[in-house]
Amino acid sequence: MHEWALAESVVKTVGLNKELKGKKISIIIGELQDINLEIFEFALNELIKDRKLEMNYCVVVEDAVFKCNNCGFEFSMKEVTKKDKMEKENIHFIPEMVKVFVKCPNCASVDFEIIRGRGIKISYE
Amino acid sequence: MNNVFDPREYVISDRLAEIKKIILVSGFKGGVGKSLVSVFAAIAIARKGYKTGLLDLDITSSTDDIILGVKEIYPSEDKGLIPPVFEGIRFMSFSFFSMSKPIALRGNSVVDAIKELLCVTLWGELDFLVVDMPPGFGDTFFEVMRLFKKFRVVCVYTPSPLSKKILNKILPLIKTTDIEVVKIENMSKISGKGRLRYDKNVDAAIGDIKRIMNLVLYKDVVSNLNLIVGQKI
Repeated sequence: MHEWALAESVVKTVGLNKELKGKKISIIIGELQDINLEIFEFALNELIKDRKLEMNYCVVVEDAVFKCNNCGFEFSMKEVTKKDKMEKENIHFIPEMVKVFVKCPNCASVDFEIIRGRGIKISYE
Repeated sequence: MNNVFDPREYVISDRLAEIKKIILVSGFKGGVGKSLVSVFAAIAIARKGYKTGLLDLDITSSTDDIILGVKEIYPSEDKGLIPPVFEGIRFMSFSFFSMSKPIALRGNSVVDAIKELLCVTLWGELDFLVVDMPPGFGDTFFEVMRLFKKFRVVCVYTPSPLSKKILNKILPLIKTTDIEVVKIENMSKISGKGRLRYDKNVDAAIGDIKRIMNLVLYKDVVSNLNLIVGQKI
């Protein structure tokens, strides 16, 4: 249920930033965050109602892409899918933990960058 | 994508709002005993009845869980992560999420991981939060300075001239009017204010609170507790 904590951070950001008011915003959720979208949107709508905010938003899930700092190989989460429930849970809480449980499929290095699909961010155009 | 906001930034101050005092235990040089001082201070503060938190931010080399001897505890979830309580201390560490496996992170990932943990951790009301900092004067320290805003820094050093020189180089950079700084000499040959004696029995007591509390080092932390927290407790 830490989806509530993330929803709260979104609502507070929108409430505090004038440039976001009245805009259509995209809430981008990284694949690594692996949040329950139903709970997240429920929490978001409850908080919007509670704080009497107007928020025109859409939620977009961004696939995770990694690039190995050792060999330059780019890979996706699908190529290194985790089956262990606890490992998935730990990445869900702290996306950087992917570097504990995943290695580059090409050279087995643990030194890789998360290029996309890490966590939560808000954008507007 | 024209404009991007990191929403975690906006909620961290709320997460820390009910903490009366934050104490960063640093020292900038490795091996000076920051983790031992952090954990022993948290135990001593909690045993005086204060609401105490302990946060291990030494991401790549977390050891507070080993010193405390925590086993089979994990944060619980309720609109965020609630630190488990161990010996009266609300304890949070990256070791919970790494399942005690090594964490290899570059600087930008360290900063992201710290922000994530601070964004989702619900400390609630605390009298003191003791933060065990990693060695060095880099990403973690600057990010914590930026996000915590108000805190006291306990600089742990040893009688080694290398440790003293590093500390004396860095101190002028962090001493500002808003930051309280105190120096504590660990592995000291003598006892007294701001000094913690060398204790050869520490290693054998790791992971055992009862044995820890019989250590000379623990007793010296207790007698220096007012200096560490910056007030009479």
